[in-house]
Amino acid sequence: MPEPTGRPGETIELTDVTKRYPGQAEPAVEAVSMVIPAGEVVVLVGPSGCGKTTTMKMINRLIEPTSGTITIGGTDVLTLDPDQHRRDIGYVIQQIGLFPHKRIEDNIGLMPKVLGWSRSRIRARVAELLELVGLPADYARRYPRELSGGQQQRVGVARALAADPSVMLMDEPFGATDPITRDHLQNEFLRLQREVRKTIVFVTHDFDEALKMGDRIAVLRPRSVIAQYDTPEAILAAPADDYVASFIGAGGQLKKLALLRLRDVELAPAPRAEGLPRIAVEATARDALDLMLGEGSDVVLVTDDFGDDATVIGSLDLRMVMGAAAGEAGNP
Amino acid sequence: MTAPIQARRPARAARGTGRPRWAGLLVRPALIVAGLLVLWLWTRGQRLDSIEARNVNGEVIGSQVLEHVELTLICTALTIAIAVPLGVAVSLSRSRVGRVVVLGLGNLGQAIPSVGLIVLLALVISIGVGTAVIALVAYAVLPVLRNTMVGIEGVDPVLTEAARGMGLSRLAVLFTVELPLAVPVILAGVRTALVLTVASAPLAALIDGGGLGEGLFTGLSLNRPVISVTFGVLVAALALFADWLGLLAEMFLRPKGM
Ligand SMILES: Nc1ncnc2c1ncn2[C@@H]1O[C@H](COP(=O)(O)OP(=O)(O)OP(=O)(O)O)[C@@H](O)[C@H]1O
Ligand SMILES: [Mg+2]
Repeated sequence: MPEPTGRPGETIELTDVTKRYPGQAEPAVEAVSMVIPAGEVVVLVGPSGCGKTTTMKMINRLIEPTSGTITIGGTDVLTLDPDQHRRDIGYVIQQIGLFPHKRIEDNIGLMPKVLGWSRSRIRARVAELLELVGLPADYARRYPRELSGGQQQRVGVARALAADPSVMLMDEPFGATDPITRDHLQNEFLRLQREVRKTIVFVTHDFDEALKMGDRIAVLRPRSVIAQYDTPEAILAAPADDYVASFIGAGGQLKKLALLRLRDVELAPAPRAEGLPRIAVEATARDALDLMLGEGSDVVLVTDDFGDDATVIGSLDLRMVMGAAAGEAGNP
Repeated sequence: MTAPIQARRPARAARGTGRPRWAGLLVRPALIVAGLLVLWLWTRGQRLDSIEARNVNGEVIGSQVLEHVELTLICTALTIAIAVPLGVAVSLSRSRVGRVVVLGLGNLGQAIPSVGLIVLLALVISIGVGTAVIALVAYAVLPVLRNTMVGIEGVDPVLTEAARGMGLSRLAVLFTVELPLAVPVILAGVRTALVLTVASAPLAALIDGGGLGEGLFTGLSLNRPVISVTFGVLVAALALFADWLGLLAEMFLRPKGM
């Protein structure tokens, strides 16, 4: 993974923000207030047409709110020059929107070029970002139509990161990728985010993606009315109402386990027994449960790393997993 | 008569790598050469009287072709210089009124029969090349204007939004995204205008503007078919050639990656 160039995120605050499109009876977004803390990933989930994209575009002023205020780092965005303001915000649009007449390198390097970076610096940045999103370096010379939908989407993410913005707005950035690629991109993204700590607003339809990506999740009703805004763990533990519960769907307990990394669980000492199944500490409690069920063993050994020569650092049994689900080993 | 020219669709020749396309590119020059060859053989076979001989000879033809080409180039350059910025401005203003007014004027220039326009302007202004240029430009502005507007408005709004969203200024979006993507459509309009100009430029001779029209009208007024046929075929060949050049331009100037 390339070294992140770090501009840390800033807090975004929406106060009573309303957007009424001309000629429509109902506002698309009504009186939304929320604080998106600096350096966190906040995921907006909600049904199609509930105003997620509209809310996002008001933050970078592609859409001007009808009323209410939005501040970033304490500054009212309406007082800023819109172009300068947007340069500080990476925007991954829902429809990808790569420029078809520009090569991938020129798509990604466009803003750095506008900002006057040297050519060698742009080239290095493009290479770094392609590697980050898992595309071969020689794709730089291709045109967008020579890439698959999922590959284009990754270029879209790279392009948004190019000028090292402090805030990222990501509108269903991994929507067009298969589950395996999506999982890989999510993991890479989370790993990068742990280092760069940007403030990220992330839109998705997929509640499981929300659970995985979000430090906080805002479950939205139509008109972007917030049904619940909390950490994934808290939402799973106590959905505010039936609407939120319907988003969680079936298997809420399992989803809770999926949020819990073994490194955050207090492990029991490793027993001497031979031949027990092994699992890495990076895995989740859900993975551990899956392994127990699959191997027919109610104890698994936890190792410090993947692979056969990893060191055993403790063990986990079924009762501890159940305790974790009940929240005892809960939030670190 | 109002016969608004349809926004001409850009040539697709560059798309796909079919060899037939390239072969097709050679058909037109071959036709032109063949036509001119036939013309040459035919005039050689005629017994020319003194008036005919004075008009149908290399020197006269050469100078008139040159004048004609000059006139066409000047007119087309002016047409582009007027129509493209105007079309861009109207598209960007998103003003309905502006659109209607500008297209209306363009339609008017096109709708008045070109002979009428050229004679009318000669009466109002004066005879001469300048007046001919004004009339020809007025006549050819519409296709470029319309195609510029159609081209810019046809750019996927998702792309302009992406560009705006990254923080490009309105002008930067125009030059990095909208104009390059509109180039094929604009060029198709230019090609139409070019052919229109070549084909109408003979009218310039009516008001002393020079060009191949001189020979054409001499032949007609003196009832010498050899002369009018010769110059008529030359105009047609030149128009075909202009169209072919336009096609080449469309193929080579279209943005890559499309
Ligand atoms: N430019 C516009 N003019 C008028 N109405 C609009 C406009 N853009 C969006 N809307 C309306 O506002 C509402 C919210 O749209 P928005 O695009 O924000 O939804 P979304 O939550 O992003 O949906 P999706 O998940 O399908 O992308 C919708 O009812 C939509 O029809
Ligand atoms: Mg949307």
